[in-house]
Amino acid sequence: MLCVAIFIYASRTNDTKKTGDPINKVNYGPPTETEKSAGDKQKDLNSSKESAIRSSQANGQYGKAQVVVVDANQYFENVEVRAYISNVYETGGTCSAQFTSDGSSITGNSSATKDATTTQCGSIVIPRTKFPSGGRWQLIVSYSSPTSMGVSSSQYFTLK
Amino acid sequence: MSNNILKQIRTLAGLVSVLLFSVVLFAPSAALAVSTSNFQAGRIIDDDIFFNSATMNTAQIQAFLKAKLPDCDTNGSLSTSYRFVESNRAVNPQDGSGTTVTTTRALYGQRYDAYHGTSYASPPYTCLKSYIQDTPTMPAQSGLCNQYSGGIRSAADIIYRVGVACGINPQVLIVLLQKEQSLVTDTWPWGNQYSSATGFGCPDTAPCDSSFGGYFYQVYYAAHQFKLYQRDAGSFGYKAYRNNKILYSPAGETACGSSTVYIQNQATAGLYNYTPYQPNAATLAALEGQTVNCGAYGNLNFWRTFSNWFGSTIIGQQLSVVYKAQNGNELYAVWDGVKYYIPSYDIMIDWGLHRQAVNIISDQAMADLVTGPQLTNIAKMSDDPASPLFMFDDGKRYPIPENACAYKLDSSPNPETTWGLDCFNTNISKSYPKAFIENTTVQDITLPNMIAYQDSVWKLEGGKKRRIVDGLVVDVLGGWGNVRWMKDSNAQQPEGKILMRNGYAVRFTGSSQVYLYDNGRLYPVNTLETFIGWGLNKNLHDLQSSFNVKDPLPVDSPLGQMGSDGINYYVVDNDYKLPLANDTAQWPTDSAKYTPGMLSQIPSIPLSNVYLSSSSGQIFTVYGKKRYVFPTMNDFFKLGFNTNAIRRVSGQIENMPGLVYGGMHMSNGRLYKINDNPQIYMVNGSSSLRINSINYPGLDYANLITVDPLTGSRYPVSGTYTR
Repeated sequence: MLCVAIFIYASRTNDTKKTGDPINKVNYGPPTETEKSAGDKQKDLNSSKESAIRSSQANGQYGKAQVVVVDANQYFENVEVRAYISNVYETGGTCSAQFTSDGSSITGNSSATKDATTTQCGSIVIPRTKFPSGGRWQLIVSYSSPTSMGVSSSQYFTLK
Repeated sequence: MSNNILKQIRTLAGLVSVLLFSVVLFAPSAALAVSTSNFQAGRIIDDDIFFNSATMNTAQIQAFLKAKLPDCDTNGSLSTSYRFVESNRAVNPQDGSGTTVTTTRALYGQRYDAYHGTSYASPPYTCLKSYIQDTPTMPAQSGLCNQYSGGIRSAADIIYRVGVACGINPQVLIVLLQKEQSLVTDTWPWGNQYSSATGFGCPDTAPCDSSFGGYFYQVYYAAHQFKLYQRDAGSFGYKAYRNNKILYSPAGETACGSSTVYIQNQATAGLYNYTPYQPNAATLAALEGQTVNCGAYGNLNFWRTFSNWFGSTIIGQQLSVVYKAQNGNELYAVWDGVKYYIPSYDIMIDWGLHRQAVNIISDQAMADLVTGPQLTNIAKMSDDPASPLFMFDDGKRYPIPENACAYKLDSSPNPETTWGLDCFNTNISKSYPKAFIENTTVQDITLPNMIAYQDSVWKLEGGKKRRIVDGLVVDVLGGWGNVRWMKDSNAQQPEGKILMRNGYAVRFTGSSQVYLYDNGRLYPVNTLETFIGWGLNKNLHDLQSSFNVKDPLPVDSPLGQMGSDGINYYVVDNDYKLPLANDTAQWPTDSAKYTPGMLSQIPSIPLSNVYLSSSSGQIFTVYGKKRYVFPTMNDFFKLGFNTNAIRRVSGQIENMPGLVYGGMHMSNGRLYKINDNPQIYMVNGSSSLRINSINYPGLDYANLITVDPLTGSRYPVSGTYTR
């Protein structure tokens, strides 16, 4: 029992030292149990993901684009909108930012391109001078391509 | 069995219990080192780490991969469990049907391929440490990657070469391989894990883009993409130095929510463009490996894996080691199961711990940690015999040289001490583990002799701090690179005398008195001629009178015209000096001031033998500490002097203390009388002849002068003039 205790103590202490190693020092210690089992979990994840993709394609859900607006704000003399499409992966679509207020409507577009895992809208930059007035404006970003289409939820921001 | 033996067994059992209990309690300290409380959504990793391609070479990467993957199950001979439907050979069907079976990994892979129509799950399996690929040459692209030279390369070599070509830390690429496909530690990786090794071109909702498939392209294009995020930062959704909305889950904003994060650097912005989710509170609170509703683990796993394998992702900020018990008031630094009490905020600052988050643990967990010495601002590394003593300040550690200590190793006082530190007092300086010190603080230069503290720069000397009021002194002492900011606890030396260059003329606020500073002393300058004569008009500085209160500079007697550097004496006038060399018998040196520093700055001109006073207009010579005046230029020339030799001096020289009037120089044939005495004399060499008649022809009666008795005595009467 004592041997077991000492062994466990030594392993734990060793673990502690590994994770507490100085900054920019490489931990050459053996993999932890979590790291050892990561490969098995990864295979399950991959398998589930592939099944889900097959399933969604079969159910025709693939065409509905989910537009995420990362930032829409006024930066000095420009209004800038940044967005991406989280569930579409393609190049060639178009993103449109539509601002409305009191019957006025301003629109800006950008071409969408593939990124690492999403489709990026590319910044939509509209000069402040194109807006007839300041105050509260509503924004909706939409995406359209030969295969997909979608709009973001609406949001408001105050133009100076 | 005797009672003694029974007691020993009980004692042993007790010891085992204590050990086991301690183990359980120590375990959290390992996990706490990468506590998610240190995760900063806006600063996952610093640019200087992310874009540093020089952290590891191929051999080091290969050694690392081997360490993380000691054994590879190449043939899939180990067992694994999965659901299987015998009737249709379905493997892990989506509807949850089938029975759980345990087979070899090889059989599982073969069944998987057969059911799904794939060809990547069957053995043999090639682990990352053994993976080799024939790679193409990739051309250089401006602002992105330099050329990558193709060839048959190992996985480690590809990581290294891509890292160098694209300027990405290979550790980042290693972590990416683990975060995306667990390739670093997987003992039986499938082919599809390699084809999507870094997840590049692999959206959550669509198959991977086959044009980026394969291990090399995955590594290369991931690195390439992070550079693209950097070069074309304006073209991507997540942007550094801006507020950005970041979702908590791929399930979307409506289902799982989002928050706005100010992204503090480009590397973090890149990570969010690559994987656009942040962990929510539940994810951060969960243990590693646990899944929670709306959890997104990609960026958290990147941070956690990098921290575990390669240390902090933040430069200048370590993973927090500061702990507090839930119901306690004391703060501790905890390292390797030992707690070190932090006695004051000053000490906390000294160790840089004030920048770290405070981890809260249970009272019991805190109580059960081993108690180490409390933190001090002077310490050494207990497990390094060669460790110098260190002083800690603002998270930096400065090796303490011996001359910074107030006492020598043999306990005798050190008269040459700079800082006056009580280095060898074990109540003041303690020992802590090397790794603890190195992890918590950053090594700086050997303790300098100059510090910046409270808006002044100080020189440490004799255990005091001397305020430097002259910037050039900093240069003389090694320059601004040798000045270090110090916090209160390390700058408590008593205030010493102010320090400035020799030759500084100073005036303290509230007084018009001017002083010359030289060699640690102040010399009052009481006349304008002295002020100008020593050239002080070019170097006058006003100082706060409070600077010279706590340890005032000694004040000498007023400055005159005579100085000394301890070797020679000088007459100082009109911003030059006349060295007396060995000829001190001629000039009065009693009033000379010991001003070696100042004298070294004044140009020297040779001593002359004849001087013209700009005050009185008299021409004179100096001999035997006496001044001899020429009554007329006629005497000057007739005595063989040349106007080229005349040195113009101020009235201060003519009238300097100790230089007395010695009479006049008169030339041969000069007629003179003494004061009101009607007797006329004629100079005859070094004596005089009495003139008894004014009718003698040929004598220069027109230039008869009246002299003082002292002059007369210089030319004693030797006879009477006769024709």
